[in-house]
Amino acid sequence: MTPASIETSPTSAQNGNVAARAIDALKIYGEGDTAVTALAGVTVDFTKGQFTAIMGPSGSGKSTLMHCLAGLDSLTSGSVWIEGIDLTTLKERQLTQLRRDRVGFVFQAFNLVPTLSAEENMVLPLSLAGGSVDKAWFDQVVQTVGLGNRLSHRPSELSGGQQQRVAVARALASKPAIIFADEPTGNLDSRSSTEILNFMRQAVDDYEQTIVMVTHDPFSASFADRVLVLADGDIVHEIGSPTTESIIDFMKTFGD
Amino acid sequence: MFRLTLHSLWSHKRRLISTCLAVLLGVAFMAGTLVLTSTLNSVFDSLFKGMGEGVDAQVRGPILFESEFQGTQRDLIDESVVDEIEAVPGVAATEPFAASFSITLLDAEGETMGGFGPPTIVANWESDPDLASYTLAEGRPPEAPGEAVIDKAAANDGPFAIGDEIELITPTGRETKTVVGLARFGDADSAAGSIYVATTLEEAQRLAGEPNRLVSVGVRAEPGISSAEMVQRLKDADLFEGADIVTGQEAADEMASDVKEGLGFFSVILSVFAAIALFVGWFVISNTFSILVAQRTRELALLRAVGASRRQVLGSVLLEGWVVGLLSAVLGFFAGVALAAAAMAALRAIGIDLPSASLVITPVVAVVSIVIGLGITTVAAFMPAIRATRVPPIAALRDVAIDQSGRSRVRLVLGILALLLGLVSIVPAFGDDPLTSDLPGIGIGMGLIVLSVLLLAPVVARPMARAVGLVVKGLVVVREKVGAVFSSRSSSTDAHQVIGDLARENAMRNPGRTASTASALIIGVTLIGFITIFANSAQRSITSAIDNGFTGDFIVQPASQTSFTGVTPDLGRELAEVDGVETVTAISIFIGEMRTEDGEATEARVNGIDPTTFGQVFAVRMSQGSLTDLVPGTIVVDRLIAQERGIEVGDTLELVAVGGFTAEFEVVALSNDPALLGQWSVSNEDSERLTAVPTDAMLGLLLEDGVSSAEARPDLEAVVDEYPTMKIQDREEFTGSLIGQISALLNVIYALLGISIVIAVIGIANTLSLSIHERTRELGLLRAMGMTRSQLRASVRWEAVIVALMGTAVGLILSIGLSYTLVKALSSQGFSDFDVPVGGMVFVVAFGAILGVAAALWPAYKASKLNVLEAIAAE
Repeated sequence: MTPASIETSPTSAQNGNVAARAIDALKIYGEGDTAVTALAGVTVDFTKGQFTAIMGPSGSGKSTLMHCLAGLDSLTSGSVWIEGIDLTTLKERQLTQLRRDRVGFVFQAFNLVPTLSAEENMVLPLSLAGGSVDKAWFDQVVQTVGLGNRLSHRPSELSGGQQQRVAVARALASKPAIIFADEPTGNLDSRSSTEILNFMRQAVDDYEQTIVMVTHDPFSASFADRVLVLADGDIVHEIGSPTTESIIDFMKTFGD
Repeated sequence: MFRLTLHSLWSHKRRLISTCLAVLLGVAFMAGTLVLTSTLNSVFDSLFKGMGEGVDAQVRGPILFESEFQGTQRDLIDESVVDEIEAVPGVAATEPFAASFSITLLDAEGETMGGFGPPTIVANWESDPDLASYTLAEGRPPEAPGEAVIDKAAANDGPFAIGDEIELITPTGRETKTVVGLARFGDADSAAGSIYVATTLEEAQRLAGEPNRLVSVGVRAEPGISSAEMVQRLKDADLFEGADIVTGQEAADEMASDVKEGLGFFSVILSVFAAIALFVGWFVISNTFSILVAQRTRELALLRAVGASRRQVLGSVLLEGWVVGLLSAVLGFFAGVALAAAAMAALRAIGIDLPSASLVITPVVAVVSIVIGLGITTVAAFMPAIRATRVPPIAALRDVAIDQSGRSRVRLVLGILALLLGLVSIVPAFGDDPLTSDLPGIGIGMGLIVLSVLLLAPVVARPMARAVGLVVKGLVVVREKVGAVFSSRSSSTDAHQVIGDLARENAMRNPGRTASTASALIIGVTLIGFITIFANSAQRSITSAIDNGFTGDFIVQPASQTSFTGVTPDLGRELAEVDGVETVTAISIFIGEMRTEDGEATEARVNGIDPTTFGQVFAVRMSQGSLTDLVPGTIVVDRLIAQERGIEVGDTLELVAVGGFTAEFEVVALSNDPALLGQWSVSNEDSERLTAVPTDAMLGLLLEDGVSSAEARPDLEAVVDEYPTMKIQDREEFTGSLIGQISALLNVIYALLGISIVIAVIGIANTLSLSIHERTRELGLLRAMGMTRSQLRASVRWEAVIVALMGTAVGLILSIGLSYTLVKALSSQGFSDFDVPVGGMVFVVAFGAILGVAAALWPAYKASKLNVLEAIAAE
């Protein structure tokens, strides 16, 4: 079953309220017979201060969408924007700078550089940019993340949940326009997962951080303000103010 | 399992290319040496074979003594023996042979010819075609004293044609001859580059200073009489006391083996450098396999989990080693053959005329190359392979691979043992008077210390990387700041600190790997630093020996350092006549065998000096007695050799000199100045008595008070110019020429060590590539976080610089310690000064850092080209 495509407020790029946006994003891997369409012309806005979860079966294009939005991958056609900047016009070096300065990342695992301490990992994007650390903001993030006494530890000395918290803190530390989280709780037990998700929720509520999270897990997605469901490279559904139950219910009908 | 190994090998073939290269270079060096040696051997075999043919017997003088550098020394024989030989039944023909090796031929421009190695032989023309070694190519044999035949190569180089006049510088002066014929040696225009001048017999004897005496007599037997029979008949004839009679073939073989012995020495030297290259290569291979095993921990554990035995795992890793070894050995062998061909071409290019161009590639060389290549990879892969078998099946389920190489307790214990043993062994070097007999022990001690450093390197690698890293971190900041000034890029301290931190931490994360990578460089830098400091100390010692010991103004010595020909004493007499000259002191040198009272014999290079004038031009330190005690019939001996041989003042020594002169000497004084006076000195009167044609090897000049060097020089030069084999040098030039010889030797050694350094750099590059491969994910993360490509390249580069500087630093410290030890050990033999050339050492460190950057070029490029998406998706 294929529900009608969701129109998500196609406003102008000058709209100051949009952190990131994709317009007619098309991504095709390969050529000829072996060509695979990963994104079939997605148009979507991510409003500032909003927590969006992206769900969908494997191969639905959710990771590709995130990679393209973050400037890690390029589109075949269409455009992606972050804070009014068209990423498709940027050169490799400018893209790198954009990632460093305006984008935060949280991956499922291997988020941290093993040779650097928790604190060094947190300030890594700032250090790479050569910018100075906003001490007050950094302290606030550290306090929120609750790692005060473990800042000098290496990642190998932290638990999986602590590592992910450091990763989220790192994403927050540079006050990016948008944070992309790729299954940030995929490797964690439910208690640690809840901690991380609460932490991300808090970042959105208290600091108006924009977060886009890819996940498989309805419980995780329920922390978001809205859930976008992808299938075959396009957004097929949007769930506003989701709960675990409403997501599971939709997924049941969707799976049929 | 076999298929699996090959698959695995194929899957990381690119990672093994540089490993192959490391083995290949070492094997090529070794194979090249072997092929070159066997080719030269065969060249000389064929060269000398012709000489023995046709000669049934050769009658030679009694053996005097064996000289280490100049072969067997024989007495000459009296010409009258020829008649006695001809009277022996069965003798069909005889050919007398007289020769001199101390004459120099001048070319058409009046410049000396030869002199860089192969000798000039002035001999009588041998007319019997069966007995002669040279054959006439053009013209006719010499018939009058003023006529000569020269070899075609010399005629080409001269250039000379039949009818031209040639000039010879002899120990008595200058001689002119007219070329009447050109000769060839077998199929070659010259005998391996030597210069041949043939005159009549009487003339050859006169030029050699040995009228009526012969070097040997060649004998042809009548048909039906075998060579052995002829030799026996001649022996039975009881020609003269100590007659040494052999077949022509034996004589030729002896000559060939003398030459080959020299070649053997050359080949041993090259082999030592090849062995060093292979040793360095061993570190590279061992390291590569350690890393590959570590990276495949999961795969190996999976194999074990599904039932592969330890033996199978061991076999699979070793098999990889064998394939790499075999491939590189075979390629290395061919590269070696190419090297040998290039070396032969180079020999020809510098004028050594060698017949029979084809290379001699024996199966032995091929087998040795392959055995060495295979052997070294097998040994190097063995420890990693053993470690691979210890991977427990459970490791398949674990997350991260940890490289555990280089942390064993055995290594620590062995390392400390080797260090202690080495330190104890070098103690004698620091005693008051280190003896020559202490040297082997000290050498072993030095070797042990190097070994201990290599063993202990992984233990200290972590703190060292931290220390070096901190230094480098400072450098990074400075370097990038400077860079920022010149490039428009905005950059700040902070970004570079994090790059420096990353580089340092990466260098520290695998101490074993870092140490092993640095070890390859440690060996190279230690050797280069050691040789450099040692040579510099030697040069400094020479300089101070001349500064303190040479009180004169000019030195006259042979223009070519490799020729041993002296000059007629006339030169000294003429120089003494020049206005402004206060004193000329002549030094002659001859070779002999010194026999102590208890019958011990030593080869001796004896100086003949004038005790009164010598002291005016040279200030010699004496240990006992005075130089003025030296009168005919007495000898001054170096303190150290006296101590070693148990010689005391008052002892009597017997000396047998080249040419068969024998004399007894009473020891009157002990000298303590080996740099200036050498080991044995007799009076000029005695040295004249003991040589056929007295010559001077060197002259020291002292000017009158108030006469400057510049004033006197033109007149002195005018005199010396008449003797083209000699040159005049003031103090600076004299010092410079001695120092220059060492510098020239140093350059050759640098070139030979170069290949080891290249292998070490390949090792660094290889380890970095493998480590980067291992860190794909992490690098992807950094790139996703916003690290720019140039920042990533910089971090890889700095990591390489840290590793390179670690190797360089350890190598430097080692080389300073070792060279200090050796200089101390040789202190009693004239090594007065220990001097570390600061400029040279700074250069070595800078060179190390540059090598690090060079080694990082390719890995850094690869790292920066990493696809971020693939990297973060890896595994």
